[in-house]
Amino acid sequence: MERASVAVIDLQERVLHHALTGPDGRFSFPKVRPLTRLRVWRRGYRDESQRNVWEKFLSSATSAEFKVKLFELGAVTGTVTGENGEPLLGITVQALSSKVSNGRRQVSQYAYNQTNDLGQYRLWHLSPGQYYVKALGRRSVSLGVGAMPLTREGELAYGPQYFPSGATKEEAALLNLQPGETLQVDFRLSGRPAFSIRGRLLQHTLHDDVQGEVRQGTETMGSRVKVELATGRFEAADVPAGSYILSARTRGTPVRRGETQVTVGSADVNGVTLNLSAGVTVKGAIRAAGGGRVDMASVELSGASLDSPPERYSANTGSVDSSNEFQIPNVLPGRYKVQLPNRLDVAEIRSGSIDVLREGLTITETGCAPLELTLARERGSLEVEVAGGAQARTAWVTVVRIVGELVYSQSQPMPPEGLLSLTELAPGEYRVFAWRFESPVEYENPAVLESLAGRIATIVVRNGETAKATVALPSEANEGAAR
Amino acid sequence: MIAHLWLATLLFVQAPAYPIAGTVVHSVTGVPLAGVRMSLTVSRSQKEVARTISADDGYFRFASVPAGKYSLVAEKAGFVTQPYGQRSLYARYSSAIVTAEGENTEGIVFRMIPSAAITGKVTDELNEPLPGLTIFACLRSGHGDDRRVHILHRATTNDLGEYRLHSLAKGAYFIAVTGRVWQSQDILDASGQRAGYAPAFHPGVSDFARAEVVTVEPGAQARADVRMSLAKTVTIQGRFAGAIPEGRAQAFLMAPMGKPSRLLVSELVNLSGPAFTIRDVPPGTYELTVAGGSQKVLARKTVTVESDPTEVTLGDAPMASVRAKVQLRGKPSGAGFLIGLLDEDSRFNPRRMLDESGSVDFGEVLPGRYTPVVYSGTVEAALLSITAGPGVVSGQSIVVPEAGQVDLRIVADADSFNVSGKVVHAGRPRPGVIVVLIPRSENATALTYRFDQTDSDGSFLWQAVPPGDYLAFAFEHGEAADYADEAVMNKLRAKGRPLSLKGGSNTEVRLELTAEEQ
Repeated sequence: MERASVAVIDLQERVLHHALTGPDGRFSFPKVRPLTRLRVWRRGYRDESQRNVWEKFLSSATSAEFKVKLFELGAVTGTVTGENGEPLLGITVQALSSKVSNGRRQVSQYAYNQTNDLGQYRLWHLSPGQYYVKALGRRSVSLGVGAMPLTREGELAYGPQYFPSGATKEEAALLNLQPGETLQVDFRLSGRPAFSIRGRLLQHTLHDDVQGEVRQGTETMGSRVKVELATGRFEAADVPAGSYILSARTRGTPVRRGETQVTVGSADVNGVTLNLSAGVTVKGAIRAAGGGRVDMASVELSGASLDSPPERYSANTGSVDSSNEFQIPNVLPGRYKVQLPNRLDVAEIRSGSIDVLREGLTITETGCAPLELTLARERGSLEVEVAGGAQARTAWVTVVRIVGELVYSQSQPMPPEGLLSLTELAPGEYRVFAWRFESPVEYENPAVLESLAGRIATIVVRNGETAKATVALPSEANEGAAR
Repeated sequence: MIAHLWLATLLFVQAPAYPIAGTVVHSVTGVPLAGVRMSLTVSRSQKEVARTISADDGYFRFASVPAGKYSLVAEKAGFVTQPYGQRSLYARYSSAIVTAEGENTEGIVFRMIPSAAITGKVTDELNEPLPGLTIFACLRSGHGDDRRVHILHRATTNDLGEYRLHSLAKGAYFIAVTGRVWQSQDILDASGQRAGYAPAFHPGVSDFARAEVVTVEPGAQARADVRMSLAKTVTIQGRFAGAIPEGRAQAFLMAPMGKPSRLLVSELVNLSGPAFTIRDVPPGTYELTVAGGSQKVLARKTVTVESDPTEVTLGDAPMASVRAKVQLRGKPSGAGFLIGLLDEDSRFNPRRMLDESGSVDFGEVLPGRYTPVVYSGTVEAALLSITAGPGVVSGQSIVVPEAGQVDLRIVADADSFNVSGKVVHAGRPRPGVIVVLIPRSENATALTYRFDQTDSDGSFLWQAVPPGDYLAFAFEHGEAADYADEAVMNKLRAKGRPLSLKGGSNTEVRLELTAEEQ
């Protein structure tokens, strides 16, 4: 590759050597000092791990040859017009990347931009991968007229609309963006009369920085939500007729959050109240085999279902104290999975009479009964080898345990000796697979696990025994596609 | 009988109503515009009273509107939403439509002004596109000390280095580009030194005085490319000596490109203690700011970045203290009056009550440009003069330095009054005329100038006028006059209509059009 910057940089960030690659892409630095870093980058490109800069720490002074792979970033561009073909200014267009992370397929906003006066937009520097493209919002109108009201009842709002059609992901096309590719994605939108939802936040303080959102199911509408911090009054503008969840949350910690159902007909809705709540504290204790202490442990709650909203999926954590007790503050109502991160030796979790390990934990506004976690008295071990040559040495291994409806997992990098040994496993059936950069398998989704049976080893671990598994790295092409 | 009685009641309470009708046309081509959303709002409250859409021939009509004063706003895809009578987009004045007995409001011609655009490409020294840069369309206003640059629009370059600044009014714009604020990759120059892009202006100069203007007319599009040049960058080693409230503060650099507009040139650096480092700063003179939560400015200092590293301490010395003494003409004391300093974002920061003697102590005030305002309740006192030490007063505003004592002396007239009037020509009221009132004395400052634009019935209002001798003008075309330019003003004075205004409850004047040169 031509015109890539290559530099050797010391620990004080001083540039010791540098070069711009020529047409053959080669670079060479004689007499490079140890304890330096080799960096390679080019504007508009990323390395295989999606980083802007490829970097390698040079620990010794021996000569070495490096092969650096950079991917060109892509773009999505197009025009947004109204029913009569008129350009729409100020419409938001989003690229939603669909990728697997922590065993779940997650769709999240990767880039967004607004259309200009010709209705044109461009989303750029997109990593190769899978995207949905979505248009939404309201045409900008009040430019330059300071005294114009922000919105008027019945003003047209557009979308949300996915490309090529439909208001939900299920109806939309998942676009595959290749390295360096520019996709043309045009929208023709029809406006719907939109209205405002107004009301007041309860339990709100002057210092809260509040963010509001209007949702239909898991789809965010393009509504602009304004919160007047001094009074707690809010207005969600650009909402067409329909039923919605209006939610608000404070930034910073602890997060306080509230949501309510609102139905909009053919007029503004006034007088809505939203109660901001800090959630509940979940308490519990861990019982270890022989009554010993559980060192350095923490207990984590995360959303139990595949479509848990992100704010519930992100971990709520409490650390375990010297008497094996823990508290997890500010937990919002919802259904959760309870786990000890990076441990697969939990035999039982109960909250009152509920079998939390198999069924999950439902937390209401009033909280839940204290949690009791019991670690397995019986344990087995698992030794994992990865087939796949030199690349196997930098692979990661994920071990998955399915208990009832829930999936528990642990991921670790392969140690240099090429044999990963996991010793603290509760007896039972485990699935094992290897991968390289990001976790490419939706292991939280049982249907996907079934479909990948050929690539995944299923191993039974027994008390006092060491099971052995050999797993193959997926080919590069496969892993890329799964991402 | 009951029915008759009901009808009689209705007739009795029904207020007289009037039609408002006319045609919307393209201001450049004169072509009628169909499908324009027309909104009629009460001038004072901005409450919408009626809405309609123009027909295929551009015709619109509101059949029955109570007597009053209304703004008429037109909205159409491809145009900036605009009020009736604006002389150019974003102009400060527009014309209200007045409905009353005897007013003809059925022949309105709404000339919708198309917006202009400036597009271009921003490239580096190798002619490669520079993505993610913020680009600004700026206008210059004022004269002499009061010269300022205003940012009107902003855009971002894409991966092809291209930008499009749209929805522009006609004007002569400067195009400014900030350096790479959001860069996440190093930039090295040919010798391997860390480098960056200093703020630049079209066509590729860092000195504002050498920037070229780009002129656009309504509906037109112009092109302005910018070539950025690479400069070796340095590191700022900073120390903030003040207290950090709630443990949160950020430091950042702005380029003082003619006040009040500033361009961000560095990343926002979080302060975890008193020491902070800002990397990759192109040499130049900047304003270094440390701000706490809610962007409250804690300290600000002008720094010249040259040597590597450049060491800066701020927050170690008190900022300038500002005191003011207000002489209120026509009032025995300052009681009941407030004085505020409007900062560059038009916020009162700070604001205090005057004491009996008209004095006030603001304490420490951040360096920067402020506009003083003296008022009580809803009455704004007319400022007659502002004086202070050397270098402080600049036109209608004051510039607070980084340190020292500033003593302002302000003369204000609390006995000011509103002057209403009508412009009539050949026996008919003239709408859309710019009316200007300036003091007769050549020594008067621009503080006492008053402007307005006439409504559909020829009426206008000058607010907060102190008693005195004035010259009045009514310009049908002359928006071009630069009232802050002494040479222009001296030429104009001969044409002014002398007015002696003494106040009283109903000060009303009638003006004829001022003769204008083409």
